[in-house]
Amino acid sequence: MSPAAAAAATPQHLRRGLTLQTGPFRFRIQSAEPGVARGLATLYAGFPLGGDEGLRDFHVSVDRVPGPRRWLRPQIEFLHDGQAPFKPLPADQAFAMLEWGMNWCIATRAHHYLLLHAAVLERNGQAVILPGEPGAGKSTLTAALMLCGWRLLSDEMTMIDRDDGLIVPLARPVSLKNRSIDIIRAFDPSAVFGEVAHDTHKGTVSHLRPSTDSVHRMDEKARAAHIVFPRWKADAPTSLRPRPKADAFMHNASHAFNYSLLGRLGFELNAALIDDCDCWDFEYSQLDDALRAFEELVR
Amino acid sequence: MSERWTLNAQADVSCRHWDGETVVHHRLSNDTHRLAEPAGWVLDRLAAAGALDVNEIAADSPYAAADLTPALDALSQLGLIARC
Repeated sequence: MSPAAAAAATPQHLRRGLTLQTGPFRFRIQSAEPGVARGLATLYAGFPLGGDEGLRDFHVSVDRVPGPRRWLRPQIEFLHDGQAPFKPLPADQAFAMLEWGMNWCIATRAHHYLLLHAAVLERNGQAVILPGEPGAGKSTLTAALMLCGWRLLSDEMTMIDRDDGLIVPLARPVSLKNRSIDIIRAFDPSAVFGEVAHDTHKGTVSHLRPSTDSVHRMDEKARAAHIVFPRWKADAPTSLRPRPKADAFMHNASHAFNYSLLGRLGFELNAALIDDCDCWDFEYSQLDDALRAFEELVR
Repeated sequence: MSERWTLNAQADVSCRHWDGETVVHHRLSNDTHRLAEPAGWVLDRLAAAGALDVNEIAADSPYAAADLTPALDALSQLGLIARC
């Protein structure tokens, strides 16, 4: 992208509304919040901005809740097609709320994909899917891999194309929480972060800008080769052990956003994915050791 | 004569087998089940042969007929197979 796109995310432009292309989706975003404009300019600097022509998949806005709360502990709300799916949040969480709202739009609408709750990255033509429970270290590992040159397809949602079973990229900022923010800052001091939102329902949150390569290649699908279930455990040696495929299947199914909704198609897509992949349980405590293990996996 | 079993045609079952386990989708209920052996063996035999009794299912299998009876009952309760 275009410096023009980053420049376009000024408060004035954003107040009128801009169209952001991320993966296969076009979002029409409106906001008068300076924090949203700064977040977009910093974290989506390399993304193409669409013009006013053509269709948008989602029309969203993030703005102040009207009334006296505009001045006393101001709050913001996320609107999709004019409707508010969430309760308002403190105004300093505006950009984080936009990110969560965009995730919600995709998770509740994009049923032409099987949507797994998992990060996914690619190296040497092999996509590695990282499902993980909260606190398992998934996002930390995802951020570190991306900063080491892996292509980020998504840190939150693995989208399986129903026609060919390939993974569709959804390059977006990586959401880091609590200690992982400092870990990644120390890991790569040149990493570009957005503003820090404190006291969110997820704790302290900051977003990491996706790599240039990830953004430039966000139209390039990938074939999955591995499903790795990461788990960070203090002082644990790095270990990679096969996970039963039936277990991986059931985990995917129970953590997908729309497995049941897709019925037999969801079953067939998940089964084909499991057929294509080796499945692993991965435990680690040291990030550098973990990265070496991942490099070995896709050699 | 033993009762005979068949796949529940209404269920429209689809199966995948990995490492001695079977995952089954039951289209009618949209439920997915993870099954240990010998359930997968039973489903495969019935899919291939149509209707069989427990002794016929056990033929050429590593399981005795008595070991298959609990699996038949469980599969029946899940609506994956039915008596015929």
